[in-house]
Amino acid sequence: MLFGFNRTRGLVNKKDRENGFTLIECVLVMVLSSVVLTSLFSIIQVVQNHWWLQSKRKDVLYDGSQSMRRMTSELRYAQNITQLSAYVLEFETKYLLDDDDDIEVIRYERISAYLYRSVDGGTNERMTKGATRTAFYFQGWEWNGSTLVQTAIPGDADAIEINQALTMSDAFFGSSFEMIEINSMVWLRNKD
Amino acid sequence: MNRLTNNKGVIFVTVLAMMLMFMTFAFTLTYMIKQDIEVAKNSFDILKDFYSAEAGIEYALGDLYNGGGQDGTVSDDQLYANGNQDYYTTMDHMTSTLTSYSTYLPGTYRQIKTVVNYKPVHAAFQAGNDIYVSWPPASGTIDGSVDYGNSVDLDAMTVTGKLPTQPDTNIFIPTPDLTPTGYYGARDYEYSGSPVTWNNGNPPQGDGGTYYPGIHFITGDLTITAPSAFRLDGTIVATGNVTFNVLATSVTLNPSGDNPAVVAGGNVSFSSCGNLNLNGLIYAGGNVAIVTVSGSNVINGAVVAGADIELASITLSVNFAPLLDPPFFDEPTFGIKEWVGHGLMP
Repeated sequence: MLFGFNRTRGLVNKKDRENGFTLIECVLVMVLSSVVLTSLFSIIQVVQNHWWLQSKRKDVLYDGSQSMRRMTSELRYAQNITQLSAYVLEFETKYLLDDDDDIEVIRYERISAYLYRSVDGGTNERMTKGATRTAFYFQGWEWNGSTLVQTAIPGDADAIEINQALTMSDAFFGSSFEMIEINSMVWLRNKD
Repeated sequence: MNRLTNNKGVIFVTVLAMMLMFMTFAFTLTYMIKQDIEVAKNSFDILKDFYSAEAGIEYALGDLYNGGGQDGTVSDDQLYANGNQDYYTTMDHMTSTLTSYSTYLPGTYRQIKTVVNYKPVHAAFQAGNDIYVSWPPASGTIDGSVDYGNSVDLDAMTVTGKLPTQPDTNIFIPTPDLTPTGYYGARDYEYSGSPVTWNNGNPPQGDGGTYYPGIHFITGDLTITAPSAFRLDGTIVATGNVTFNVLATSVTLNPSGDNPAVVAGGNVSFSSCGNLNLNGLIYAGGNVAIVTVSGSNVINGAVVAGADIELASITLSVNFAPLLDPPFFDEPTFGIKEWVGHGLMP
């Protein structure tokens, strides 16, 4: 073929024809680019979701370890259990790390889906943070000889069992997603 | 046309290369995410393991405090028997160590070890220095463990518990409180002299009809000689030495409750006696010597000496009472000293 087509100049000699992409090439590149970009976007989205998930997991792990550590360490100093139910644990102690030897009342309570702590009826401090919901219960145990038996009477409790299940509250997975369940027990060694 | 200058297929190759690059990127990312998830999961499991293992320690400590506790496994997963979370705690009286091992299956484990020194008396024979058999030799069985600070030579005697080959350089010998805040304050009868002697075998004070129960406190030394059977259902506490040199056909000590049978600030010796039946702790701040004793001899309790324990010419059966918790003896406090080992299941 001696002549090519040029939009402005009409038929041109092949020698004068400019190099460029054909329509088919352009369409092909656009289609493939969109496929690649879609894939790339999906990957970025997965990374973003994963970052979000790990961030929540970190919160849950932090909340779980902090709340358990605080509860178990304070319970070891409990002198008198004044209230005991599945969702409320209240005890007296004078061994708090403060400047006085006064007896203080520490109360742990589950309200709605969160764990709260208060001292001497003061402000409720939420133990689990924003992303973490907690379902937990306390259980009292009493030594009967060398056997532990359950008790609901606060003064009889020789040991307190703590069961805590922490979940993420966001509906990222459609419903709450259980992350961790921690169980422990504390022997009330400073009981009066 | 030269094939090298032909551009046909360049786009295909370029796109293929790009897709390969993105696929590599995607696979790498997927692998990294998977690793992250594993790490996060293990962190959760290790946290669970820790508090579960700690529950085992707490259980064992409470059990000890409430009078339980034998060597070996003392607690199980009765609280958390959910199939995949498990702990067990073992107790070693000799080293006063509790070890709690928790696993979350399949996956991780955590081991917590704690030194507690929960009881002042932790072995059948417990001596700050030496435990030995002199001539003529002794025989018999020690149903319990032996703990010593320097050396041991029990000759033909059988030890059913632990008999360490190396001395316990950190051996704990308890100290009784003999002051008004301790045994002196709790005394029922008081004697003094230089020395105090019970020549007819019976204490001059107390109720002979019920074999003299109560705490008999002697300031100084006490020597007991008696022509025949000697029985005391109480506790002898002396600030000095206590000597049983009685030529008696039998010596029976039955202290009440957790009270010891004999507590001496100095030495305790049984010699030229017969048929010992000692039901409680024999404690001496110095030495304990049990020599030349005939007949059948039994100690249901333990022998603790600040220095030496000597046996000679006796057939003796010792039954260690691990629950022995005598009053007015100092006890180290409970406390977690260390925790060791955590991670993936080996």
